[in-house]
Amino acid sequence: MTDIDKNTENLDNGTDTALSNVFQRLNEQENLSPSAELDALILKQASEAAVEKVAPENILKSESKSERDSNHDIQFRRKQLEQARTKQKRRKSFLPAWAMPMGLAATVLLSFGVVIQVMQSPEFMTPKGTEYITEAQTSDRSYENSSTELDVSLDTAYERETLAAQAKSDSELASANSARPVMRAEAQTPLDSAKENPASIESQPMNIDSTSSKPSISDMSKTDIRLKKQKHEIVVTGSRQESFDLQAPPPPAQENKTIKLDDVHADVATSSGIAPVSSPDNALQDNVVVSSNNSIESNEHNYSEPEFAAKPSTEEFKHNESSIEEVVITSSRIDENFDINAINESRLNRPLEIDFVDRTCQLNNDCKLISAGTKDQACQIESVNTANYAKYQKGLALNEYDLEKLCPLYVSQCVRNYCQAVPVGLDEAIEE
Amino acid sequence: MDVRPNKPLQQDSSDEELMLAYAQNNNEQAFADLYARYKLSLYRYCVRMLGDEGLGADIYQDTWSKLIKAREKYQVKAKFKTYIFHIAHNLIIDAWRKRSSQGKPLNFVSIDVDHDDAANLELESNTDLFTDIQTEEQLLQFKLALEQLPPEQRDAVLLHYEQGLSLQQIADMEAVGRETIKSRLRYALKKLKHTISAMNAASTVTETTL
Repeated sequence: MTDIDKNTENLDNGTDTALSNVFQRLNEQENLSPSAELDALILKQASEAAVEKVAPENILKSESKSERDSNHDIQFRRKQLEQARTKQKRRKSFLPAWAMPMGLAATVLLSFGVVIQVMQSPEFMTPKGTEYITEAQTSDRSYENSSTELDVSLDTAYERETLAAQAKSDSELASANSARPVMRAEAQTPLDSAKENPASIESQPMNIDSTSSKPSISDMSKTDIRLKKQKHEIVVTGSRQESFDLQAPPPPAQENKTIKLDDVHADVATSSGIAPVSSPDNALQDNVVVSSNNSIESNEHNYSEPEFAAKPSTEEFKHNESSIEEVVITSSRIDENFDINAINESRLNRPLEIDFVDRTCQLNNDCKLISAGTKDQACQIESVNTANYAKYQKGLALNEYDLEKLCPLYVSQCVRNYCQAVPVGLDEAIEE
Repeated sequence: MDVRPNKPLQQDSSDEELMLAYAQNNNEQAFADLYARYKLSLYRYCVRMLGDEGLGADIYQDTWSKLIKAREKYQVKAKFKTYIFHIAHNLIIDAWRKRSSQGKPLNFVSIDVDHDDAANLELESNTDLFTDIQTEEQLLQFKLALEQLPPEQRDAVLLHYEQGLSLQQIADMEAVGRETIKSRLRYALKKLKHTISAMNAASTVTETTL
């Protein structure tokens, strides 16, 4: 009894048996069989595949002397490795498991605290190379140059006297060291000025306070900031009559991020002519410019990735010259409605190409489109032969076979990372 | 399906047991036995589906290569026969498509089906016609008629009548309904009958003329 006889779904048992016998006779007559070379090739491939899998397991089972020696070496090295690991474990066992991360965290916090402290210190606030101007010098300057814009206001007469005395001593010192005024200003501390001018000793607390104390946030908020255009410095004058020259940061360089398609998918970009598709409803996507040399320029704040729909080149997909006239629908998704009737009317039996975001589906015969979309990167196209299209439109039921048999195959081509074309009605492709 | 992979292989071991022995235990002899069982039927299927022995041999080799590569993923979900013919079937479809895209479609003759007639098509008994095919010339006619069937119909005929797969197995393999396969077979038988009859008539006319 043959397999067919066992099958209860046969159309006609007599026909089945008769046809089965015909095939048997045909096979005897034709004697179709693979060549001996092909047999040997396939068996060899199977054998090699089996050996490749077995080989790693048999390395330690080899019996030859040299292999035994090498195995001995391997075992010795393994022992050494295990011993080293054991030592490491012992070392680690002195400390509990949480000690390492805690220690690390404590170190980080400590160093962070130190950094903050250093940053808040006055020495740090007056970096080297900037001019620290005392109140007295400010006054001195204001006396010397009436056009100086420094804003000086003195509260008390006592302070005025002290500052005048200090200004006098400073001016003397300035005449002596006129060659290096800035160095003098840097070198002169309040203590030095007190030594030189005992009269200003009483004012020292105020000066010390004004120089060593850190300007608070409230003080800073009252500051008057001027920008010296030439030096690109910011002069900050506080309510305590302090002046700080802060080095202004360099103006930010204008950076343009250029993404070249060649860098991303050189082969795809050049061969298939990928074109970006801007989606108007996507608020994040802005200012994507495609230059003539296939580069996409965007400003540095544009972090959104432009959505691409691959538009295949005619070289890739065309089968004849008429494919230039292919109907291309760009960036139509499966969930978007597009007018299939309009497409069919405009086609006039030309090849149809639908450009989805993830792949391009092509229908290159005279079939009419009924539905199209993609599912799991595979094209899902339902079509009907032109001859039956009218019948289909009239609502006459076409069964599954009617739909398939005249448009059985379509050419689908994926343009992104991988290609696995699946024809209509065959969605269970064997995966490798 | 009750399959024990570690069962000692015997002459009557099932296909699935042999495949598991090869896939899991790297039993080369199991593969050789399996290969011997299927080499002729699979080779014929590939060649007859593609109508070209060279291309058929390529597909045949690719089928076994795929099987070897995918052996570790093999699971006994269906008969091994269905599994390997499914692989071959997919490769054949790929070959068709590749040829079409290269502008060199395989030489299939499409038929014009009268749908009104087809809708009411009842299966006629073809027993006499096919039982009569005995001589070498008749076998050649049958072969030519088979080659003129559309691919899907030829596929159904080869898988059902030659390889003995059930309608449901073919339907599962091709992801279509069982009724679709049934319909394909009916059309195929009708077409075969018409073609063979036409050939007989033509040869009769030729003999009479001579």
